[in-house]
Amino acid sequence: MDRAQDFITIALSIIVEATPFLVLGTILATLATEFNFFAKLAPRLPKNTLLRRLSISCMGVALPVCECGNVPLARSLVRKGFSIKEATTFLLAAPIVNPLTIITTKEAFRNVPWMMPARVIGGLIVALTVGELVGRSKKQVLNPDFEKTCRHTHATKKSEKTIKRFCLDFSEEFWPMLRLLIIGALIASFIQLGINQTLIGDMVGGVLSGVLIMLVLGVVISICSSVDAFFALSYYGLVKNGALLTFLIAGPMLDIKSISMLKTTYTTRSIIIMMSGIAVISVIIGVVMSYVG
Amino acid sequence: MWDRVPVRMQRLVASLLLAAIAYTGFKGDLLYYIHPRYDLFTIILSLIGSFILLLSAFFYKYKGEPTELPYSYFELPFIFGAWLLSKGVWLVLIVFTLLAFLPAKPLLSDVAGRKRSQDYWSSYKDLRYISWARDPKSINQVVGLANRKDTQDLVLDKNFELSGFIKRTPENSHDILLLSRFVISCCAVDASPISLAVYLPGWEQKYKEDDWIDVSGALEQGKKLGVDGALLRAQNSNIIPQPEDPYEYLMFE
Repeated sequence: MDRAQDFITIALSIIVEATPFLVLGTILATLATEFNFFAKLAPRLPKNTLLRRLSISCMGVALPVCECGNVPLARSLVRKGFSIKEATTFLLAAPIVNPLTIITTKEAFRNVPWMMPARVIGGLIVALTVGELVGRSKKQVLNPDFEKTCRHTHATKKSEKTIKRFCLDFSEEFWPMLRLLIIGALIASFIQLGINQTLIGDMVGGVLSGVLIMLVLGVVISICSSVDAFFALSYYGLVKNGALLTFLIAGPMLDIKSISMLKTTYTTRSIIIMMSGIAVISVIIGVVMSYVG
Repeated sequence: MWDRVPVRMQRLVASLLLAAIAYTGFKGDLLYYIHPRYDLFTIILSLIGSFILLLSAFFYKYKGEPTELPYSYFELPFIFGAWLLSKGVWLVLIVFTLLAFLPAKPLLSDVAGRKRSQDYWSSYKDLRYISWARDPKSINQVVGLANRKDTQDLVLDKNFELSGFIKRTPENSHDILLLSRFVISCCAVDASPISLAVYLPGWEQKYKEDDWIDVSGALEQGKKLGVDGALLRAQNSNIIPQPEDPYEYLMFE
């Protein structure tokens, strides 16, 4: 009975914590669509592909929502004509270039000064590379239901810019993500209670095992990027700093609740490509920094 | 008209869930789930979201052609129920029910035994000069100071009165218990246990695991009794009701 209550408490905590951010992200995305914000932004971005995508990634600095709130914004980018590469890069980078994430990472790792810049740079590398990988895929990338909504989106007529339109667009965007957030929260809670984290110390052998364990932990522990640095701190000294970096980069991109919400936008195949790309690149970064850092 | 009902139900139950989150905030129970710094943000956004969804349920008009019911009236409730299940309405309703009606309970020793303890302060520069260093009040603060060579003198051989839930030591000691609390930095999913060993011979005759107790005594090095880290030698202890704020919340300066 206690175990069931603990399961409910942890699942509800994820839902209670994430849902307001999802509301905020959906409001911003809906407003951006209603006022054609992204269409007005597009011509002001650099023409060079790499600089353009870096600029879009750095929009996360101005949008302090957690990874849940970024999903509706990324969807809005796609609807407004941004490429899949650009939207995916934004989606993956935004939780890490979030100012709160930067501050808390710096705060938690005061005695590892390179950790914060490494997290930002490493996160951007992963986001740019995986965005490129997903965008180049020749097969269906976007969820067919979502793709239909992209084809039917058009510039909002002035006469249609009403509270009614805003409410309807908001709820159409919000409902599928809420449902998947709940499913993700239930799965994350189940796995969290199933894993005995106190045994992790016994499992760490060399550099690679430490990095892989922290990668798996990042997937399983669905903590927001704005505070995951404090969680990672508890493994300081147990694993190399490079392994902690892997957790900090891959965690916000790969956690279960984020993956479940991606189903609203991408096909399963694309999600698998994204997960594989994020995992491989963040492990490489983690191993390199374990020796260099 | 019946075509509109399922979609309106989706909006209504989502609105209910957000209203339940806001209601949890008004009741003061959000602290069982999230760090208090998110309280105001959570309540405001939940109310806004709930209101928008309620309006959208009211505004929604089905755009297709009216059709005849494809099922008999007898079959309709089952088909409708299955449809709602497939659309996730039941899932959201269940979450709403749990949040609104299930009494909130904090995490206790079972979860503490499966999670890794945090030491938030081990790498904190200049801990000696943090605002609470001269007057630590919580288990997290006392243990944080006691675990560092440069701040041990601030807490060792001093008296403290601390409260927490009881957790058994890994060795199942009959003389030493672990006075514990969970520390939260964001929400209960990242809650990490922090424990202080308490020397209280025969504690099992008075208390059991997961009881909340208040203990006062002097802090000393635990080595003499085979304990790593600090140990509180209990002079007085009392069982207390579960506190209204069962967790400690991480605040950095």
